[in-house]
This record gives sequence, structure tokens and C-alpha cells, in this order.
Amino acid sequence: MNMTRREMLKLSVAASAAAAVGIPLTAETLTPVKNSGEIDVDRWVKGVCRFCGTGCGVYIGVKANKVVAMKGNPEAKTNFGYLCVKGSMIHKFMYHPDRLTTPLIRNQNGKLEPATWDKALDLIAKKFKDYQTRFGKNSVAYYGSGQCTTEESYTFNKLWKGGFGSNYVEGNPRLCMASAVAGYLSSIGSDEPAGTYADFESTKCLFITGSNTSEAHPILFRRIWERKRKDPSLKIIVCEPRKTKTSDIADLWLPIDPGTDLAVFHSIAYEIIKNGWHDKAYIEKLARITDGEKTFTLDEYTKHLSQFDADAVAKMTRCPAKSIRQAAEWFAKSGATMSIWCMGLNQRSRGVWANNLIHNLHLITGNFGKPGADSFSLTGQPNACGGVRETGSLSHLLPGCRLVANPAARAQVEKAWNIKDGTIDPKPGPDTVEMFAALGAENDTSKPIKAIFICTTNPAQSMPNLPKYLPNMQAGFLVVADIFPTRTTQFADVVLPAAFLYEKGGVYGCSERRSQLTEKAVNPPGQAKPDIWIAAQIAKRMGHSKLIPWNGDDSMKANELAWTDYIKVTKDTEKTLWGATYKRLKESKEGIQWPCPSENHPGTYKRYVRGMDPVFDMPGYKEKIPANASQYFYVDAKGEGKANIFMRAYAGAAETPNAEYPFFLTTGRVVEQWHTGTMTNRVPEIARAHPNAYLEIHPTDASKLGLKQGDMVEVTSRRGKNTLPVRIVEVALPGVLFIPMHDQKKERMVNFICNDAVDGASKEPEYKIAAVKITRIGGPMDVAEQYNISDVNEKFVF
Amino acid sequence: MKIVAILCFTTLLFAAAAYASGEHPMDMEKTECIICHSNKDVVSKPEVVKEWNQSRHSYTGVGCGNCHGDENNFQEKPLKNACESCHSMQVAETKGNVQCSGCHAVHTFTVHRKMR
Ligand code: SF4
Repeated sequence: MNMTRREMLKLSVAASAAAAVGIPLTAETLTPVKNSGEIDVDRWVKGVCRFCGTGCGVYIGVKANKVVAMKGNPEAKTNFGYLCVKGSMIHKFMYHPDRLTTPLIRNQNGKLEPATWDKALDLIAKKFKDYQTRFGKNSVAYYGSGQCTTEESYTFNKLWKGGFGSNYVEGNPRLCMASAVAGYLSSIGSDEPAGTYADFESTKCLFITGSNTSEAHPILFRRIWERKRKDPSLKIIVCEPRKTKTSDIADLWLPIDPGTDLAVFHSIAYEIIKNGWHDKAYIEKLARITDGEKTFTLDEYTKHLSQFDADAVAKMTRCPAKSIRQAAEWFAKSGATMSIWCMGLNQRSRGVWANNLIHNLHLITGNFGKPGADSFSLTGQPNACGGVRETGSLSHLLPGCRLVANPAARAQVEKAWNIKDGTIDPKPGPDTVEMFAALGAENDTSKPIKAIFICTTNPAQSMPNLPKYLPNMQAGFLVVADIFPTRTTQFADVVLPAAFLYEKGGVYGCSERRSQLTEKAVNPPGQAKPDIWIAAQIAKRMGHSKLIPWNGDDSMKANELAWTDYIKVTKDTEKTLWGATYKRLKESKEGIQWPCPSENHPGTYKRYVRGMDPVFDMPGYKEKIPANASQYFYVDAKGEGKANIFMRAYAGAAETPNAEYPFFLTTGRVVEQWHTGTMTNRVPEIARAHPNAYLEIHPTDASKLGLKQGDMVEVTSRRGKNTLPVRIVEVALPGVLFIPMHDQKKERMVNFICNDAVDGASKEPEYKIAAVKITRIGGPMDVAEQYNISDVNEKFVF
Repeated sequence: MKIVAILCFTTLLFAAAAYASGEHPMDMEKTECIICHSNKDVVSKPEVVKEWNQSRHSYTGVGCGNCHGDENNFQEKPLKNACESCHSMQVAETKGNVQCSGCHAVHTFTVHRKMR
């Protein structure tokens, strides 16, 4: 381990001091055990972790009406009582002195100053009404989050689409899961996986790609590890440009240059069919080969795949041909193969195609609809699935993931919401990137969106290509609801202090279709309020209290009313949660997996399989399913019960290295931090382990550039730059660099560099791949800042 | 030279006092723990970092601060409350003063003997 000079100096002083008194600085000078070490609380309240899409069940320890501890819920089916570093430390930031506890309004001098709730809400309603009158209903947008509760997202979505008649509703899942949604819709016909985490226990081959599971979903990784420990015959294949700790437990690592994995997936498919390892009967019965328009024969598909011969693909991708062949054999012949992936496939300009190609592998081998065999997308955020995908809180969706553009779907929702026919706009709204591009000042005629309500997310740090979008956020009228000051509150005209999850309660739905309820454990600090209350108060002030009647002060009551409204709207869809009443969710220690059509239904382990999936017996579906079908894709748009094997072309990244920008840059998580670091970075115990972003570089590249450990470099893309220290490690392939995404310090915010090129279908940006150059600017510097924005009036100079 | 000597003496006093009260013996500043703790010139057992690095805790990102706390709540020898958040079921079965480290080798974190 190399150190900076300051650290060396500090250490040598400390070492000599310790040596002089004969104290070894070790764990041997241990404090004797004085107590039993039990956690002292008044009560434990059931809930779910606030962070990742794993959806770990927790108990929230409350003492003297404050949250003082966290522990895993042993009865939760997601985590069986285990928690990772983030989940176990939630109580450590809830009472941080930086918590926002009073509404703030920006005054004429540009300073945020405290205001009453009435004043803040009246101002918001007045501004929104004024903009809607002057610039039309779509001049006011909503930008939500996969971290709001389902009840909150549903309420905002209903207010905008049913109240304002505007589809200008987006959320940060557009930036993380949209390609998975479009992948499931186009390949299978319905969003979200067929299987569940339980498949980890029965799979015989696990294909992990585009996911550093060990850091991004640590408790699932623990589960996988445990399975491998108990059954070493489980084959694990990891396909990634970085050899992370996830790859360390793999039997086979498929290295790839960023963006070239589509060729590897095609090549695996080719090897499978060439060797006759495919499941011909499954393909004939349950799949069609298509390019989205025409259908093709297996021979035509094989001919298409033949351009992806393993030897040719090895040259394109840096993935050895032998490894591709081995992966193909294990994938096809294991008996039960499961794939998992996350942002590495989704945050791509060809994210939907990448998703399609993974589904292809499952469909051609029949690895679908049986225990241990599934094509399973991991979700990044804790409630992107339940709160945004299922409630349809994106600009093109309606509750139940139905399409805005579908007249029948609009009619169903209008009826359920008891609103006039034609209220819901038939035209989908803009995607997130378009939305922030269209945001601007009142007098800017090129920017049709004048105001935006931003809830539980931090786009001024998390949007790609920040130099393009920050001026728009500065110019538009921004209302931001959050628990801490963030890069986005720095641009806000009104800041609303939000209650934290455990101060309001609500439902989160994780990666495996499981909805779990968190009880309200404590009151929010100061004047902080639940987002559902904020939404309902705005609705009331804008004349929509009939549509959103849950505007009382009791958050759990409001949540229950919103939830009950939501499950009524989606009752007849394949995502039905009609049986998951609030009472049941409150009582359940493990939550409920949809489809769940009735109160006596236990929830669903596997979709599309008769005997497991209750949709086979639901009116509207059962009529179209043949009586002898044991597996059937009842969501097939063509009504044939088939899934689509997509004959996609090959496409690499939107931006690839050249002479001027010779390196690939990729970005992602580290285990200690969450998203833009505004919560986790306020926990010293974990922030210490990741106090700043850095540039990870392979030793070969470092030596070519004459870089030493800790040297400061400038990393520049066509859009912007970062200044940060290098960390020389053999993780990524030579030529591939990595910067984690959590640092709030402007100089190290990686999204100044990232590409905002989007996938043509999902409109998800290509965060994962940019072309960059590096310039050494000096020797090591201490940048271990654990930087947070503490002063609400600190300026964001960009 | 004089400055270094004063600095050494001050740090020495601080270290001695801190050890006496069971606190971390020096200002942790914002530095990553393993920077000091893998340096044999500073600590006598740098191998604990190596051991941890091979453990399942390292693979799932459970770092020093998770068990040992930070400056304000530092525990040289973590008690079972440090384990309970993540291993609630196992801690519930560990009664009285019995501590997890009594069975599980710390830093390598072998699984429970009964389970092997
Ligand atoms: S794995 Fe995810 S859900 Fe589970 S405790 Fe960690 S952050 Fe929370």
C-alpha cells in the first residue's frame, strides 16, 4: 500500500511515539469486556432497508423516540437477517446536524431563508398554476425517484396524469432501469423478472454480467457465495471489463472492452446452436425469432449469429475464444442457468439490445420457467420496481406498467380514478434527459418547461453530462424535497424538508417483485414532513383534493389510502397486488410477491408457469391461455403465448477511444456509499473507507504515463473534467479506467465527464462508457475530505 | 528537529492517554484505516489487514469502521452489538456475556464451528 507524503510523515511520527513507550498499536491492547454488548432499545419496528434494490428486511431500533440501531429481520426472505454496511448504519445519519428541518424559500438576494409550510406550499401552488396558465399544462414537471415509497410515487403520478392531464412525470429509474424495462417488454412482453431470489438456491450455473454484485448488492452476493460454498459444483461465470471481487468467486471470468459484450452474448448463442446444445422444442413452442417486425427461422438466426464466431469476437472484445466456448457449454448444459445483471447492461446506448441478448440465451436453451433457471435483472434502487415501474411513474407509463399511448389502458385508468374520459394525455411526455434539456427560465422561449418538483433525488449531481444540464436547473423554478442539502438544493427556489423513510412508513418493492411495508417508527425532526403529505397539500391547493383525498397529518393513514387506491387501479393487470392489503402487508414479516390476486393468495414465486402463476386463472387472461399449456407467455402482444428471440445487430458504445481520448472510462458504485453520497457520506464509520473519488488505473497504463500511486491527474472527456488522485490496481483491463460516482466535491463528480447519449428505445443514458484522456498535474495530495454540503447557502459554482 | 521532537512527545502522550481509556490511540483524521494498519512501521500486526482482505467481510465490504466504530465510538474489541445489526439471528442465540469473537476467529471470520 503506497501512501501520500503527509500520511507517511504522520505515520512515522505516530510510530516512533508509540514505539518509545513500548505500545504496539495493535488489537492486543484490548479493552476488557465490561458488558454483555447487547443493543439497548425500547422497541424494534419492522421495516425495509432504505438503500439498494436487494430489499433487505430490517428491524429499526427505537429508544426514547429516536432511531438508535438497525438489525436484519431473520424472517425476511430477501436477506434472512443479514445486512450490509449501509443497511446496518442507517441510524447514524438520521440525526446528522445537516438535516433539513424547515422549509426554505430563496429570497430576492438569492439566499435560502426559513419559511412556514403554508408560505412555501402557497408559493409552489401559485407558481405552478401561473406557469400552467401562461405556458400550458406541460410547463410544470415532476421528477421523482426509485427511493420514494410506492404510495408517494403513485400520488404524484396520479396528481400529474389524472389531475393536471400532463405526462411530464419522470424519475431517476429512467437513468438506471429503463433499459431493463424495455428489455423485458420487448423480449417477454411484461416488465420484471419471472423468477425470484429463491432461484439462487437451485441454479446450477450463474451468469453475472454488468454487475459488481459484491459491492452493489452485497447481501445477494453473500447469498450467492453461501450457495457456492455449500455446493462448489455451481458454476459462476462473470462477464465484466473489471475483475472485481465479484469475479473472485467465479469459475470463469469473461473480460471485455466496455460496450463489446453484445458480440460476446451473440457468440455464446452461436456456440450453443452450432453445438446443438439449444432446446429446439422450447424454441418452437414458446419463442419466435424476430427483428421486431419480421419473423425468422432458426437457420436464418444461426446464419445471423455466424458472424460472431468466437475467434473473431475474441479480437473485437479481448474475451478469449476458449472462454466464450466454455461459457456457452456451461450456460446451455447446466440444467438450470440463471443470469443476473444490472447497470453495466442498462446504462448503455444499446442497453435494451444487451437485455434482449441475455433473454435470448435463456429462450434458446429453455432456461426459463423452472427452478434455478431465469433471466433476472437486478434493480439498483430500493423502490424502482415497486414505486416507479409498477406504478407507472414515468412519462410513457400508467399504473400497472401500462402504456400511456394505449387507448384501452388510458380508459381503464380514467375509469378507476373516476375522472373524465380523455383527461389523460395520449402523448407520452419527455424522458429525463429531454426533460432537463427543456427546463429553463420564464423568458427563455426555447425552454418549454418552467418549473420542476424534484423529490428524493439529486439530479444536479446524478445527471450525465452535467455541464449541459446545470444551467437549466439554475434557470428553472426548482422545488426540491430532500432530507439533506445536496447539489440540487443549491439550485432550488424552494427547499422542502422531507421525513426519512422510518419517520413516515410506506411500501418498497424490490428486485424480486416483493412489496414490503415499513412502519413509521419515529416522528420526523423539526418541521420535516412526509412527501405524501407534501403531494397532497399541493393537490389541495391546486384544486385536486377529490383526486388525492389522503391529505391528513397521519402518514400511515395516508399511505394506506394511497396504497388501497393503487391496488384497485392495478387489480386486473398481471401485476396485481389486490390481495396485498395494507393490513396484510403490516402483518407480514416477509412481504408479498405479485401477482397476488386475492387475500388468501400467498404471492408468486414464478411467473408464466401454470400452477405457480395465478394469472393463468384471472379473467382477461385465462380465456386466451390453452388449457394444456404448462408454460405460456400470456403477455405476448401477438397473442401466441410466445417470447421474442431478438435478432439484433451488433453495436458498440456511442463513444470509443481514439488518439485524442485514448481510454475507456467506466463508473459505478463502491459498497460503502449510496448514489450521490448525501446519506452514507455522513456516516464516519463507513465514509472513512471511501472518503473521496479516485481514478482506478491498471499498472501497465500507469507506468506508460509515468504515474505513481496517489499522483493527481486531470481526466477529461469531450464534456468535462475531473481532478483526482490515481489508484493503481489490477482491477480493470489495461486501457479501461474507473471512477466511483459518490463524491460530492465538484472536482471529483464523475458526471461532469459521463456521456448523455441515450438508448434509442429506453432513453437511458450511457453512463458506463466514455472516452477520456489523462494528464498528470502533480504528486499526491490529501483529498480524503468526506465532503458534504452543510450550508444550504453554499454556492455551486460550476 | 526540535519541532519533530515536540511533535513526537505530544503524540506519545496522546497515544498513552488514549490507550489508557480504550480509545483510538491517535487522531484518525479522515484517513482510511488500512493505510496505517497495513504498515508494519506503525502497527505490529499488519497481517490483520491481509487476513481481513481474504475474509468474506472484505468481499461483502464490511470494513474496519463497521465493527470498530470511529473516533467517537471506537471499540478496540467489538462486542456482539457490533455483530447484531448484520447477524441478528446468530446474536439472538448468543446468550449473556458470550461474545461472537469467542468462537469466530476475528478478521478471518471463519463460520461457526458447528456449521463446518
Ligand atoms: S444489501 Fe442493499 S438492501 Fe441489503 S442492507 Fe445492504 S444496502 Fe440495504
